[in-house]
Amino acid sequence: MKYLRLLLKNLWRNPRRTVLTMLSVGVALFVYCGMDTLVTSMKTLFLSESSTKARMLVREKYGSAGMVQLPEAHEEKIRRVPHVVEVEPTNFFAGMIGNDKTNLIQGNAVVPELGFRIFPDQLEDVPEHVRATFTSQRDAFLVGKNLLKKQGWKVGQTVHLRLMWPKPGEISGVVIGTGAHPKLTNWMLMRRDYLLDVIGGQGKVDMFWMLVDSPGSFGQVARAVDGMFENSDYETRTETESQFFSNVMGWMGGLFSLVQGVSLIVLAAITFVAGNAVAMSVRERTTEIAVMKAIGFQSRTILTLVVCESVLGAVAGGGGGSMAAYVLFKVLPMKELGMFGMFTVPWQTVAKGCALSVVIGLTSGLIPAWRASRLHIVNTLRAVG
Amino acid sequence: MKVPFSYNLRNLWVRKTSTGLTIVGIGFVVWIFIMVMSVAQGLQKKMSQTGETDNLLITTKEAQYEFSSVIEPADLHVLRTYEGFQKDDQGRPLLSLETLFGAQQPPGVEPPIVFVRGVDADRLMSVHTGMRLTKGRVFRPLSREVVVGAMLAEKYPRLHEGGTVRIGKYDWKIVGVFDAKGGAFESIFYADRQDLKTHLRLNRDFSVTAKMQSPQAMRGVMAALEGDKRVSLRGRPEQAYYEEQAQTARQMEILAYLVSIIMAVGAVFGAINTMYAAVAGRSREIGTLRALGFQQPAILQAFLGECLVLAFLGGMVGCLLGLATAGAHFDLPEQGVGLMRVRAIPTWRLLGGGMAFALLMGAIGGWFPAWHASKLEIVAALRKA
Repeated sequence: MKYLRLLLKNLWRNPRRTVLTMLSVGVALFVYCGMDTLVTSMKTLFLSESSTKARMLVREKYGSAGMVQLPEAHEEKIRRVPHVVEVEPTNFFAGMIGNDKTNLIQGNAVVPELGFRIFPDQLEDVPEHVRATFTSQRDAFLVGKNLLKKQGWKVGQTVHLRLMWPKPGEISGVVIGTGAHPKLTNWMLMRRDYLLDVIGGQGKVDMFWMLVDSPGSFGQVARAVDGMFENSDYETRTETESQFFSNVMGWMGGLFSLVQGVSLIVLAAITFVAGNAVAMSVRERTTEIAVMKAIGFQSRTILTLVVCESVLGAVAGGGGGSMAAYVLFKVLPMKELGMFGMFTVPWQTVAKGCALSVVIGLTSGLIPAWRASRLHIVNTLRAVG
Repeated sequence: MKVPFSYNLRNLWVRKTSTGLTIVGIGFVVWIFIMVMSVAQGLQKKMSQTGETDNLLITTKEAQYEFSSVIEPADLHVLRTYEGFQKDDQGRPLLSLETLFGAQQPPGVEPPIVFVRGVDADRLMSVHTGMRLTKGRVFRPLSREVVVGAMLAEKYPRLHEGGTVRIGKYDWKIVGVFDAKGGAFESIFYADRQDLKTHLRLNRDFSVTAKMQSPQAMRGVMAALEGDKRVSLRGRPEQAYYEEQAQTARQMEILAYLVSIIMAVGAVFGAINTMYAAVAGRSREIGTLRALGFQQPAILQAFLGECLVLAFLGGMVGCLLGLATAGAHFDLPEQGVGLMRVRAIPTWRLLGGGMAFALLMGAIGGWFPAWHASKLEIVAALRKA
């Protein structure tokens, strides 16, 4: 990189311009990373295969998730199906703090001993003593890390929730621990028996989660379970975990298209702005470039130099913007931003941001570099001002 | 005396590339603002236009969503004693008892879930007065017939009059298509209430939609319900209920503001660069103008004006692009209604807002360079090469 000093000197010729351009690129990449985080995080969250555990879920056949519940009695029968290792009844709940409708807290009411066996990967970072407490203490709440932070709760604190779903009611519990797995971090878990006590009524189940012995058994198990309850009063629909979540993702398709479309426009806009800056810097240096050509620099070298200068500036700005996004999202609670505040920027997005900065540098620098390399030595030296 | 404006205009023309690139930069930011806001506002409007201004939605007091509300027969008896409802031909109050179901479609069918509202046939059009049958007829009681909303019929060719939709175990016949002033109801089905309840083993009604005689009558009933100890109900104006549910719309609006404002910073930096370069290149001209007698404020105004013209043109580009993409549609999810197709159609107000936004960017971006230009020392400026 023998020309590095030259590049840096050129960039610093007009510090204000360089800094402003780098900030522009930085700002654009910051926005890009924010938006990409939303899309990518949701996709990874819902669509990634849990390759270590073969999980399926059983819910009522005809209603959308949670519309119609299944009887508890199904559990025993499902347990007896070949290849089924463990079965856990779960119920979804949603509540709020006081009267704040915008602050929705969602979670699942579970059976801890069974849940730990079916979801070891999601509950990996929950220490043994917390697990023991969850299993033995009825009003225990296991709260995901993000949710904990967002609500400003502490482990050991007693929390009061105004239940909205499945039935209105009040529940109080003690936060006994936290977990950071992506599927848990914005969510909370409580004991199913406690929920049922609060809402009263007969025990009905939203979903039965199952652990089967291997992915190869998926088809068999689904047929066996659904076949068993076919034509009964409570017919079932058995799906694999990934099938269920890709359906959930289906709802978000339109949103993702919009966000991705806007991302493209953001990148295009900044390329124009950066391109302007490079063009201006080249225009100021035409005499210098002509002299360089006169003393023997090749057109190709000139082109490369200008492009590299552009890339350097773009990467400095864009890289900075991507990292700023990473830092900011980690540090700020962002409760008011709703779904946008939920995620932290994954390193893949930061990497993508840096790569795109390079592309922006290349694209914005290309045309001015081309024109610089094509400058006619004599005419340029002759030109006034 | 003011600097002739043609001077500034001509300068913009002379520095075509720089001018052009900056205009595009600003234009794209305005485009983003217009596009995302038009989708957000379109969705919001759809939700707020859902239902009628003279309809009152009655649910249980604690129910945030219709889904968690239950109307008992006793509640209905009490409601019938209230004054203020419009009456049908037989003198009975126009109260529509309704039930709601999210019907899971067979695997592989699009959309995977459809929402069906169960209503009594004689209450469908008399309470939901905004509905209009565009094809076919209303369903007959207990015949497994439904009517489909226009948006669904348009988006999914098989959900047309004469087609079928899976609700529960059976395929129900679609006997009519309706539109509802573009509101959210166009994304759902209506079916006979008793029919739904029988087939789906739904033993509850969720809500009552009541047609009120006047706004005072509505307020009267709302107040009466609050104080009535016999029932635990509350009334919300139908449109207000749906407007409140429009979570996705609100999130989109936040996205629009966040992205646009942050990107505007980037565009402003670009504009600053352009203007500084313009001033630097013309320092001799500025010195000449000052020597001729033009005062500092005149210089400031001239350059600020130049930047505002840039911004104005950028705003025009943004608005034109926003109009060009007006046909783009996005299918966005909202609670209890499913996916709604929104077109990115900008309103005049939004276009105006976009222009104002562009001009703001121009004013901020142009200020410092213009100020700097006006403060140039005459002799130094004239001397500059």
